[in-house]
Amino acid sequence: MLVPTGVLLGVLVLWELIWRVFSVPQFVVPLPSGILVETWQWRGYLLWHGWVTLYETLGGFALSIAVGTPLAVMIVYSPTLRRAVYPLLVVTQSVPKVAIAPVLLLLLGAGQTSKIVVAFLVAFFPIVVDTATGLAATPPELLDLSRSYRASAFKTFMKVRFPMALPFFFSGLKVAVTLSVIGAVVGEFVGSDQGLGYVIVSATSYWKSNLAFAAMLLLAVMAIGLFALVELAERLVCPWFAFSRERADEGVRL
Amino acid sequence: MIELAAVSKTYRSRHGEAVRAVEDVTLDVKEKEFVSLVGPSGCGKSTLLKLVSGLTPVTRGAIRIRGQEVREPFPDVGFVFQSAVLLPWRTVVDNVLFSIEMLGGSRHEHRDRAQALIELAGLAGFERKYPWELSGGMQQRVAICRALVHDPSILLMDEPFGALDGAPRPAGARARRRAATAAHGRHGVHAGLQGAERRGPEPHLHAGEPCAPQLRTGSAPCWCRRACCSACSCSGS
Ligand SMILES: Nc1ncnc2c1ncn2[C@@H]1O[C@H](COP(=O)(O)OP(=O)(O)O)[C@@H](O)[C@H]1O
Ligand SMILES: [Mg+2]
Repeated sequence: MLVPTGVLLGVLVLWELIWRVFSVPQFVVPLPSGILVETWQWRGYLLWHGWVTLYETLGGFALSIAVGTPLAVMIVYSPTLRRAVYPLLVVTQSVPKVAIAPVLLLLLGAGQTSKIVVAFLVAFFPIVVDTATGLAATPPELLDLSRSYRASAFKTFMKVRFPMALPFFFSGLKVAVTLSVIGAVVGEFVGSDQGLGYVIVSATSYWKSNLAFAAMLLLAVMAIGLFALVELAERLVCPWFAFSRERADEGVRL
Repeated sequence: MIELAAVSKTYRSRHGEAVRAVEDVTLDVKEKEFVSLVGPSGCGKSTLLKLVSGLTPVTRGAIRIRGQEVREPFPDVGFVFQSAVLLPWRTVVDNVLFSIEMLGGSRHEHRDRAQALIELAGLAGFERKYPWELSGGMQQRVAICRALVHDPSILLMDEPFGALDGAPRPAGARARRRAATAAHGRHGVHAGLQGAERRGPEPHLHAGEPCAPQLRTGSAPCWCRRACCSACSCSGS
């Protein structure tokens, strides 16, 4: 934590120095100090638009969990569905979301729903892939153990397969939550009158690059914060994984 | 009690060729008998145990337990796998009680029994620890407790002492003896002990006397070879 913070501070100081020495025009790329001042001056405005983007992000993220997890279960348990659904999923993923966004806006209107759907479309794929991988990776001996009790498929799922897949599920969530932020902003770029994506588009069109950078700063803080929250949830839900991983790390350090 | 009549198992490999893992094994295990399966790696010890437990169907022949043909897994068996396969999110006690939960029994009623087994296996004080806090050998002993907690009348163990590891020798031997005591007096098929690889190329089956008397005197790794396999030239190390 200390090293990356130091590197970041160093870069910012260097940036400030170079800009002052060569007097780069501020409307092209502003000074770090200018961005901080701007962020503070526009704090109410930025927070309000940040709240809009956060809402869309969380909506898309929640939807991607609600759809992605059952989809992963179905893919793992039914070979027929796997053959039918998997290629479709890959096709939907290969279409750039920036290209779908305008169409979605046409279909769903310029409100927040269209942004939530874009965020969902970007975010659900890693959840499906990672959860399915985790469910399929149950050690065969563990499945044999479960079978030796003649346990039902549901019981085996609840007591063995799903808990065993939780670390995979959470790594899917971590990727998904950062992608949700991107999805929401892409939706706002395409057409919106609120949210941080809108702030960036409108600020740059008026050459207010200080404000655009302030919005980007807020977006980065939001993405990092959400990522940290998912990591915290992972530690609470499967502490055994975090602990055994830490122990492995210690082994590497020694 | 356990009868194997000309049992064969042929696996079909991914390329479609047949792998004959077990061929024409006939064996009769009586109540309270303790049988070891000895043979080199890949000769079909694990396969035979899976057949007896009903986890894998036989290709030819028949397996009967108390006269009843085995067609699917039955709950009156405890199975210890070659590796411990514990659930990493469960403590030692909860891993032992896993059998009870999966069989739909009451955790509460089996708590004392689980505790007694844990103590017998030399794991007292580790009840609340997680598998990754235990050594490989301790994990294997937890797996043995899990296989015994529902009081099965048949215990199947696949190289259960293979992973008994690094503990200092006297402690290790004591632990093995304890783990074995838990199994004593049971009628079981018990496969592959340490050093089993020294045997001949064929699956080597030998039914012998119950081992219980030797348990209290000999040290665990060789008691079974001495007691059950005295007919063959296993040297008790
Ligand atoms: N699921 C399987 N599919 C195909 N071949 C298998 C399978 N399981 C075991 N075999 C083969 O059957 C033989 C016996 O295996 P196994 O019973 O595990 O031996 P052992 O436990 O004595 O070391 C080996 O040649 C192994 O490769
Ligand atoms: Mg084996």
